[in-house]
Amino acid sequence: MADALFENKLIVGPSPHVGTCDSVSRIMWSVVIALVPAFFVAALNFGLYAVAVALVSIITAVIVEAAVQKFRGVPITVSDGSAVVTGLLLAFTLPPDVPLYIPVIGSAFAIGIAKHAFGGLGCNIWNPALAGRAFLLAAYSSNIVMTKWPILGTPFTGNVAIDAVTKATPLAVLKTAPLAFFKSYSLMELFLGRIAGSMGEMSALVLIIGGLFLIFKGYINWRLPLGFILTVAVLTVLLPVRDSHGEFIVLWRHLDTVGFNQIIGISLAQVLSGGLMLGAFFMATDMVTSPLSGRGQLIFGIGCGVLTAIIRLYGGYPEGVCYSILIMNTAVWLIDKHTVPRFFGARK
Amino acid sequence: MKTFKDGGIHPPEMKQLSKDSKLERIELPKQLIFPVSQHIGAPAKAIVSVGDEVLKGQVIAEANGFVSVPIHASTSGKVVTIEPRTTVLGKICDHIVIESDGQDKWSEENKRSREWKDLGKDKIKSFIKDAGIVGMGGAAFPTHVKLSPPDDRPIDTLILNGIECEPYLTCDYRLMMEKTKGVIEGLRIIMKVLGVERAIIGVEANKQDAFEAMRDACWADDGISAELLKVKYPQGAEKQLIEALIGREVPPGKLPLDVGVVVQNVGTAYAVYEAVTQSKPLIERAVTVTGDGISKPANLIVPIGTPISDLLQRQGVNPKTKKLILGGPMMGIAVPTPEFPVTKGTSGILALMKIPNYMPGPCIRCGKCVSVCPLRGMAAEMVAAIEAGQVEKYEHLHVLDCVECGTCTFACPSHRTLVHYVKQAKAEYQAWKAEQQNKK
Amino acid sequence: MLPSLMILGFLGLLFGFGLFIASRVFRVNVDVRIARVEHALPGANCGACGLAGCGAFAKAIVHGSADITGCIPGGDSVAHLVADIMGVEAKEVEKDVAILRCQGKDVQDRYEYQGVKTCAAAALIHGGPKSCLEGCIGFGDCCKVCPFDALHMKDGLPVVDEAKCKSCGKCVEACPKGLFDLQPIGKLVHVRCKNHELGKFVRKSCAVGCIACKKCEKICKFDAVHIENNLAVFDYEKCVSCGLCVKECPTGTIVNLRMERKTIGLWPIKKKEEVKTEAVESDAAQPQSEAQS
Repeated sequence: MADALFENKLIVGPSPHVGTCDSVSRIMWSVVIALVPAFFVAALNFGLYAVAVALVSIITAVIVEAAVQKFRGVPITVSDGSAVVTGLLLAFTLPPDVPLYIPVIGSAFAIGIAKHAFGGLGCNIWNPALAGRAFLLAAYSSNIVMTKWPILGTPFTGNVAIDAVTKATPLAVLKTAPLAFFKSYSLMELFLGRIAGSMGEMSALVLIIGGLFLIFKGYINWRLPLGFILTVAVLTVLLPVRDSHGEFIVLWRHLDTVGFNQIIGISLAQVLSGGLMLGAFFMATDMVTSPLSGRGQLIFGIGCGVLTAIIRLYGGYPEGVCYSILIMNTAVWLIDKHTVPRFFGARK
Repeated sequence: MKTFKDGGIHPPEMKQLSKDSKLERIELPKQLIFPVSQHIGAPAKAIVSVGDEVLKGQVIAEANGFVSVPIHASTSGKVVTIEPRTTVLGKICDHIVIESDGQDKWSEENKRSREWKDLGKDKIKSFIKDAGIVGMGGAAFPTHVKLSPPDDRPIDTLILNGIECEPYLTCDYRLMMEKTKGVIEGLRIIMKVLGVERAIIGVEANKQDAFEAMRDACWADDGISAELLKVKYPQGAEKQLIEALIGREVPPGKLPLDVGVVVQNVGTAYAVYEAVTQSKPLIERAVTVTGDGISKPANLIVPIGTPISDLLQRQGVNPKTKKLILGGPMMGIAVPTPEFPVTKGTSGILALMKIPNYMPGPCIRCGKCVSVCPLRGMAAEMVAAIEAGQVEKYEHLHVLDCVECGTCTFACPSHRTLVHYVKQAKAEYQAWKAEQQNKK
Repeated sequence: MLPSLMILGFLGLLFGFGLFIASRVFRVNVDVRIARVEHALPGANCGACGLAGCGAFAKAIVHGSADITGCIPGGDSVAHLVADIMGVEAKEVEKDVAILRCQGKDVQDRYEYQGVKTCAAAALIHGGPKSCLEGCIGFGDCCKVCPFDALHMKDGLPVVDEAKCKSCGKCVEACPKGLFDLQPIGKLVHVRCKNHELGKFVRKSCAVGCIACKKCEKICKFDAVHIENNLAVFDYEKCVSCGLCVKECPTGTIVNLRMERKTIGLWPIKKKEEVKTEAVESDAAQPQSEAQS
């Protein structure tokens, strides 16, 4: 009698029987969409070669992921977009005129070692793209491919104008002579992205738009990027920096000579230049390698900010975002352990 | 508008399907099935035997201990079988099958009507117990036990749960709309039993009219107030409702009465009203039959023991239905066949055709489960420990305090069935704990 | 140069002396036999002895709180090694193997299962999808826990590789339906069913389940098999593995493992000396058995 009611066998499973329409692939592809504007800015500034670098990086990432998954005998999940995100993010951290073998090696390391050697999606300790960049930085630092930043070319073609002048990168200026920063750069340049740098770090504006899109979709927690960026902004004012004589001064103590506007300007310049926006919105927020709870994410962001500020002002590298995130990635388990929310009704 | 503080989700409500269909009494089913275990606690003991003639309202299985309730025949007829079968929860217990004689004849003792205001507390409580009343929200915990708090736990607030936060279900809503007087009267009876001065009726904002009906029915009374709450799942869970309404947190492993509160469902209040004033035992309940596989979604008054297949046929079930659920979609139980009967805890029957075919992926540590958990549990870490079989960690991670409301699983972008892991872990933990004690 | 050498040398001497003092003062007297016994154990830390790993078991043996034959996976050979170390005589122990009490390969699903793909989880949902509620669910929890790689899924049922099985009992614990038990390798005849339902219900769901026809009970000359609660159950004390009931069983529920055990060299049971000389042969037989599983 009962069997007559239904044509097929009923599906039986554990409750709940309804679920969100979100999925891992939807999250990953949303990240890709959020990165598209930055990709256009890169293409606009560096021409087709930059597009080629990004494509090579992405294609390598996808192929390596498929190959490793096949080799490990697990389902091949390249369509979920996580490899695409890693490839794209890695390309964004590279100088736009690197030889094409660089993204190939970087992507292969990022996916093959940094991601799958730890067990694949969800199990890696470090952000694969950043691990890939750190690897490249260590492997190719001597022959300047990883530390040379090209001069901006004309839009789309990438041809370098004849009268272009080489100048120190914004971060180098901020490190050695922050007070002279506004002699060579303006905040608007940094904001809109007409300066030399890695492919994806060009325009703070488009990165913020992408980041806000992800926050709006609920895919990243606002606490993390906000904590990260604010910490950098505050610390670069509070910590001693070099003055025009090369000696360390604390900016806010010299309010009268330096001027309030310039202090805010330098702070903003720190925030807008380098990979901070890319790192804060897209790298540090990588779900796998950031803490679980909101409070943990805030601590994680602040930790990244402190390390970034210290490396930027006193370290051997002009930029500290990559290493600060990697170091904080390592500390995620520790943060998670100490930021367990108080269980409902449990005593402190 | 108030709501509980942390976590929560907004699943699609789907209440419009059956919201406007009035409560309707169904015709008598031919056969009724009564599992002796329909409630939390000791199963009842069958006191009829095969071939016996029973009358409507007659006790067919008696309570077996304090945390247990009797079961009554919901129509007159003949006992045809008593045999062990598996209940919806997977328990094996005796099932009494009664063939209806079509007379629907009441037994003598159920014809009295009473004035409850003259009755003493204990008298009322015994009426409630003898009527076999259990929590009608789904958990089916014996009501008289809930109304007997130990002396060292003074109760100051009674909360009437009219939240019905499960999607699809509308039977509580219909009760509040149509049986307003009875529900409020039941609430007053329970207040008297508990001796409390304050009662709050909680209704979610998607049932504005029900809220107004309740508020208007009780505004003159001392101590009873209605409160409209922001829509958020799982607000109907006792702990969340108490927090939302009066800001008290029930500690893990404790009961609402430990913070001076008793929560009762509107359906229970109505059953109490009927039992005490009309001496009518719990033999029927409101059930929502709905879902995209049902052509005429409805709210029905159904005799306990009616096979689900009868209700499905009555409301027109689509043969392409993929999933059959007893209860709501968040906490209800999917069943393999429609042979199961409606029991005291069955609040809804859902026939769903659109079942997403999720492939669970690995945890990407997005933290969504942590941010939506109304109990602030670390679901991702719980499941990591469960998968690794680290039983000794369960207690610390509060795996055992999980109420299985399903918010984490709903929100998981990787479609991991986290609640299922937790269910498994709870069973595992019991075995482990027993083993530990044996060692000592 | 010289001062630094002297300083380092002095520091080296100082620390060395410190270590010497510490080793004297905080000395813990360790029985050397513990290490030797532990070395003789298989080292799988399977817990079949009931203790937390091989180290704990070694300690317990030396302290006299555990029996020297307590290591079940190690069996006879380990018991003799341990007996040598402890200077006592070991009794002969016959090897046990895990027996699966189900052979329902073709049991249909009652419903389409959606959920965690483990037996333990599926058993919580109406007792698992199979129409036989007491049979194998088939997600292979037992294979996952086997520390000796002796269980593999084949056609939806786990198959015990008896050559590899060390009867540690992990599968017995893991199976939510309790389908495994450990029986001596000398016992060749087994009932491969655990269903207690009436025969007519068993027939509906499974062609090879026990229908409680009592034919085995009637034919048995040793009073070794009885129908208890609709299921044939062996009294292994009395059973002599004659195989009469196997021929009589209409559903093929009772099986004789003599031939299978012969091909992998487990039957007839060899004396210890024979094991040593025929080690090469059994090695040759092993790959074959792996290919089967």
